[in-house]
Amino acid sequence: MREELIKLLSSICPEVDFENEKALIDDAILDSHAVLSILAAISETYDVEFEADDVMPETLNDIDSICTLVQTLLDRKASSNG
Amino acid sequence: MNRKVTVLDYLEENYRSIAEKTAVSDESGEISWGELRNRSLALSEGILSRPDMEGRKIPIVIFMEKSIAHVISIYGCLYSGNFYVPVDINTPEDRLKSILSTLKDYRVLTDEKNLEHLKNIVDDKDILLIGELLSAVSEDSDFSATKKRLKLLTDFSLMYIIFTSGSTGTPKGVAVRHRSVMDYIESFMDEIGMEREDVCGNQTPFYADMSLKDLYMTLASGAELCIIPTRFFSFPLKLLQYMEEKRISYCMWVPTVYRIVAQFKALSKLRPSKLRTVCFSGETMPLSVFEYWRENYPDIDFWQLYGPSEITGSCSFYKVDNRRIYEDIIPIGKPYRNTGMILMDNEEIIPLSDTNRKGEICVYGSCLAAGYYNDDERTESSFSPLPGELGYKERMYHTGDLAYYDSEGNFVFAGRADYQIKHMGRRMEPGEIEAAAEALDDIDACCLIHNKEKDDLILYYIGGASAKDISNALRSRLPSYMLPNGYRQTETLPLLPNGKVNRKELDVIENEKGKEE
Repeated sequence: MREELIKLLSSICPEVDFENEKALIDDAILDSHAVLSILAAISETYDVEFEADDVMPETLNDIDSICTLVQTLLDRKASSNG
Repeated sequence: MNRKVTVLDYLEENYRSIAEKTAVSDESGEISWGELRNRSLALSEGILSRPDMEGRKIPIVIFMEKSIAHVISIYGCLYSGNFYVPVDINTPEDRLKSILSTLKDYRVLTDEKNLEHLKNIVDDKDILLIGELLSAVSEDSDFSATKKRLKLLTDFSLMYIIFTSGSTGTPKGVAVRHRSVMDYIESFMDEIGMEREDVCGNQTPFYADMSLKDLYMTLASGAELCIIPTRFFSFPLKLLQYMEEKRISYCMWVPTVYRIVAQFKALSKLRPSKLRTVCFSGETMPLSVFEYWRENYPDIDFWQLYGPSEITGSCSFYKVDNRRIYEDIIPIGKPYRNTGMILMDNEEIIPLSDTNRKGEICVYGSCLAAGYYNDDERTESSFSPLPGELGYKERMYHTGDLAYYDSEGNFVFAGRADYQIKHMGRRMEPGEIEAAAEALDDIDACCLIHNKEKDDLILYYIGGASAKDISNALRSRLPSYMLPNGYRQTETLPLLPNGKVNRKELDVIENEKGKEE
């Protein structure tokens, strides 16, 4: 999923090195519009919904955190469907 | 002697009466009114100690992040008798060059952090470093150079220039006098008010005119200006946590920000407990977003404000009636006292009794900007003589915004004159179609784009509604020729730095798409 996510995010922000950046939010590499666009793309691609506490600086600060977030959302979806 | 001549007199008053109270806070700390006044005076002395700044009044560009230092920079420039030009540090190089060439003679005040950006754009000799200037002034300075300069200032002196986008691509520098800002302070305080105990949570950037409220209403009331870190506006819960922590009681944000909170239903996780006043301006507030906030805060005051940069802050205000159900749009209300606001249909002034007839909003009074800096041509075309029956040799600003009167005499916004679309041979306002769509429950925000290639109207929207639902609902609200031909559901709309929808960018996206298909 990691590679898939990097590909997806890079299509939205081609100038960002998602593989290596460790402080996407703390170093203001992603601005407000980029963050909202990324959330939108994830939501659409994985058919998941965000709640307010999913959308936090620490859940989007680097690619590994984003992977964890998406996995959490998928698990939540699976358990609510099952 | 209580008479106030410039906005600096409010700062002097706070220095005398509430020196110890917090004036401004940001992520790094806070500063009291006494310290703010003294640091600003020291900066002014530093500026005036430079031989090249002697005996002139010139624009000083402030090029730094929104922070306590930025506020000191503003008052430092003003104490030195000059006027300030707040500029976004992310301004593209070409645009920055265009702004500087409009200013002609200028200095740029910045900090070490942003110095690098200015290399190759600004001459070294034109750069002022805030740290250097402040450290050059001794602790026991009597501020004599500043005191001498202040005697030359009147309320007619320029206070700032804010650059707004021009339709031709060259930014326009709206130049505003102290008097206009003081007029705005008096208007706002009379009608809306702010208390010394308030904590104002600032969102709008200082380079946008919308931040005047935050900066100068806190100055006039002695309230605290709490600068919310920009990155929190992408994280609704983080934003609300910060509000609670800082005891923020007063918000004056663009609708987009209220929408982000509503979109993630963040208030059900945390509802900041001190909030008592909410103002919105800058673009139309989607009703579904407003209703979300009202449900969560049934007892606080909501205000809709309206006004372009050229009339300094806002010229009309509307207190939302907490019991009323709004069908389609919240009015922009009535003008403040000492502000003239009329509707013109070509050369004719629309009478108040002629409800629902659309005209262009035109504004006159002390609130009017001096004009566009170093641009007489565009000043002449937007600021024209006031019709003879209303005044002698007075000027009036043409906003380019359309409105009509409702039955209570409120102005109701009806779109921009210059976004007019010609579709199927009929002229129409995208704003009108957007307002109709935004009145639906399941639409949080939208933007109507004209696909010129196909002559299609495409509605981009955020919200849960399906295309079929919207289309059915709009059928009862709009004439058939105004119904969109296509609907594109999206999670975000591109935004301008000030938080408004970037209509131009969306227009490019849609019209590129049109060619591909």
